[in-house]
Amino acid sequence: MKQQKEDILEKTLRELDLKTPSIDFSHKVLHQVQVTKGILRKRKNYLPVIPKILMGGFGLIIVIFSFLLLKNMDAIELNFENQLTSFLIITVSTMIGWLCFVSTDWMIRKIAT
Amino acid sequence: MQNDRNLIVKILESGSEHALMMLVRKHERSVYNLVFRILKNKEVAEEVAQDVFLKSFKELKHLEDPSKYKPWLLKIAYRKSIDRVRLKKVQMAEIDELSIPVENHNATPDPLELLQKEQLKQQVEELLEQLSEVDRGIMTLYYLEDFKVAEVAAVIGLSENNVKIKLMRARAFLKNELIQRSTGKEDLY
Repeated sequence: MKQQKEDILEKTLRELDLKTPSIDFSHKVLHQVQVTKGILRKRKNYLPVIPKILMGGFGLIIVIFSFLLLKNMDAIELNFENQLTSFLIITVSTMIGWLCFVSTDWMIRKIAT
Repeated sequence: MQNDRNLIVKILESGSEHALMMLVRKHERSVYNLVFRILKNKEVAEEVAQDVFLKSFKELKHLEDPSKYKPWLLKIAYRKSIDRVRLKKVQMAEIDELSIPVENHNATPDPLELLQKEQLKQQVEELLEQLSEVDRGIMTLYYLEDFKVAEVAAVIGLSENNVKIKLMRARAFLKNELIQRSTGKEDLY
């Protein structure tokens, strides 16, 4: 009988309701964390900068090429009859085109979100 | 749900606010419940619970084992609550969510009503309030958080034997009080 009495009390104690804070408790904590300096140390995210660098680099190369061509039309001479040159030009052009496409797509998504 | 270790790593490595929110949501009930049961004041308990999380995030990098975040967090919660009690900043008799309408003990209690689970829970809640802050903390951790005696002892800062004795005394107190309240219906408890 004594054991039974103990069991009922123990069971009741374990079934007591857990008290809950207000619904926006976690937001209040986050706000406090944000206004307190030195808690969240954010590492710089370089990913969004990559498309800008790629576009900038590509633009720079085009400008340099343009200047070279203006100054001396013989500065860049491409022999299209050479198969290796053709292959390289096609490969590089494809890569640049692909990079431009990916970078533009990435930037549009970034702006949209 | 992600475990504490993963969330803590994300907070420390990338300052993830999402991970921080998840960690808070995961443990807010445990922290608030312990603090509230010690302080018995809703507003103050919420304020202290916020401080607890803030302190835990400030000292997160010093936590040796991230998987033991919860006991560590509850230790901070317990200490902050006891500090608040000691500073007498809490008007214990004020707004009291746990308070229950005073019963007329002279009236003969209905045995069927006494059997009702909710009523018994209410009575136990009421009696728990009469325990000391330390005892309330121990009972909350042991029964509601399912902590083992050793874990409770680590949080409270007492020896395991002391915790066992306090648990035994608190249980005896609750049992006796419940028996007294149900005069003539002792066999219920």
